Amino acid sequence: MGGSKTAYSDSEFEAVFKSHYRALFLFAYGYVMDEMEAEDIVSGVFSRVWEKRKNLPPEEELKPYLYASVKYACLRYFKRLQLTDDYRKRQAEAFVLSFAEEKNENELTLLVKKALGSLSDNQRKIVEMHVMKGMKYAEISGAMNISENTVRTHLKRAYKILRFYLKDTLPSIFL
Amino acid sequence: MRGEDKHRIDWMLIAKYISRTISEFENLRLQNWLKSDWEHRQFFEHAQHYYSREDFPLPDEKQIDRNWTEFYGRMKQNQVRRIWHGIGSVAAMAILLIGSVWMWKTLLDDSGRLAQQQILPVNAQAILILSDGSSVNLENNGEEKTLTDRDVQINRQGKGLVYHPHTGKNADTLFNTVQVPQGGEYHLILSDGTQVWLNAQTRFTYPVAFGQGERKVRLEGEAYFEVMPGHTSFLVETQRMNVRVLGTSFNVNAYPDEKITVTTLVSGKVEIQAEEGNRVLQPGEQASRRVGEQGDIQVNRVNPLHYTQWKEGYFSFRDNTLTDIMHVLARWYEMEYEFESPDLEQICFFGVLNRRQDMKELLQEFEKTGKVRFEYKGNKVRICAGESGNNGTTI
Repeated sequence: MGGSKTAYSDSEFEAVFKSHYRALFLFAYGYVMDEMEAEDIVSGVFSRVWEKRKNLPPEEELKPYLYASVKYACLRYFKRLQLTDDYRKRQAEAFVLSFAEEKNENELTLLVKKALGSLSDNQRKIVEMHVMKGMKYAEISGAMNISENTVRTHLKRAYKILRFYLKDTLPSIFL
Repeated sequence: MRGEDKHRIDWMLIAKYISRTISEFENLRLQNWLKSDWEHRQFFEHAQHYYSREDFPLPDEKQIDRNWTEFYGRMKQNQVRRIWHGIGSVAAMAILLIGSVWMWKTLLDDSGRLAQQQILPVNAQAILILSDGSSVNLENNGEEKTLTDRDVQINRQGKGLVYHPHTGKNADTLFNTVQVPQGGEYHLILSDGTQVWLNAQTRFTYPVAFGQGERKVRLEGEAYFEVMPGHTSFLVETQRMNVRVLGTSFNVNAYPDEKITVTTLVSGKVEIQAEEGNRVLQPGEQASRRVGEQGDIQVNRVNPLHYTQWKEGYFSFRDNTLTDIMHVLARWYEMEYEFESPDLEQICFFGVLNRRQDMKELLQEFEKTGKVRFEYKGNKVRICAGESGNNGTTI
């Protein structure tokens, strides 16, 4: 990590942890599909960052670093399992689930954007509220003025579309 | 393909298996991969679960706060550990989980009129067995009281006992035992300052004061230890596994009535001793050994938080089968249960639940998933199929 460095106080570090935890967890979960492993991966990344908390880049530069660290931890996990992800399908799901954005736009991020673009406005809004903001069905139903059941149906359909999209598009692109 | 890579496969094979588009040849390779390692099979199950669930496990604010508290505590302990290390001592923290076969009492009332009754955690009293074999009820009436065993004084404070250093002769040959019943919890401070939290249905034996030699205690059940640094090591003996704390501070969680014996290390260092040999654990590692199984102790990486949450009043289920979950609940609630059909036993659940509440409220969380339904008759619980399928889910 080049550029300017900052020392984080415990409470500043806490703020970083809390604001990025959910998305990083979803990223890892979308990748390894195991909640416990995902938690371990994320807390492992944070503990390595904690060691360096007196000498870290400012928060906006820290975010891509956290994502990259989680990504490499997931890759290492796959390696341990003697598993490859040559078509980067797991990686794509990780990006979609966490709405992560890579700094350099590449084929993959474009694809994720396209996948999200295949949702209707409502579906996309609901997925964002649910995943990014961690809102419950009831809260979303209140905010959007639709029934909880409709929220559920929207979400189900949205994920189905995303999965379908990723499943059928990726291999041909990366082959 | 190179030799060590002969079992390497691409994720696409699993994806194809799940979408049922896998060819015979590909399936053969997948099956070889699955056969080659237990972790591969576990991953495969998680992948199937991932594609069958309709929601995603989203940690809410409360969960994130808890994870932060756990993380921060662990980081701080690591700092303390480094300081201890610096002055030539090692601090350690471990959790031990022990099990054997569980039996529950049949305390049933068949009358349907009890159907509306709550099933609350049993609020039973722990019992202290003194060195001469006599027993004392450890009722919690809020009063402080001093008990004596020979010339050793023991203070009873609320839900706990406190022992003090004792230089008297043979104090380390006088053993006390605390027995915690179903639905109970108890806290002890031993003569060296070590703290022990005992979970329900646990039996814990220790000397009223530690002597010059190794500090040795015996556990049947589950306990959380914070061991005080000392000149001698601290040994927790259990039926199938001993845990030697290589230092000062550790956390032991041990159940005597499960088919599997598990030790989880939070931070520091402990040595697991079993017939097959000894093994030193690193923080975040969990050693397990099954009843009657030959071979080495298996070591996995885990999040230690899940194995200590009982201490804070929560049941934490991570990918546990309903059989295991009911087993744990029966240790806490006075109830008897039966499954309508055996396939219900294998449904897995994730979730953290408050264990201070009525059991029916708690089981409602399971019912919300639509996978299961519970019927009550007095304290008898019948587990029936819900409206939807029986894949694992988050509570």
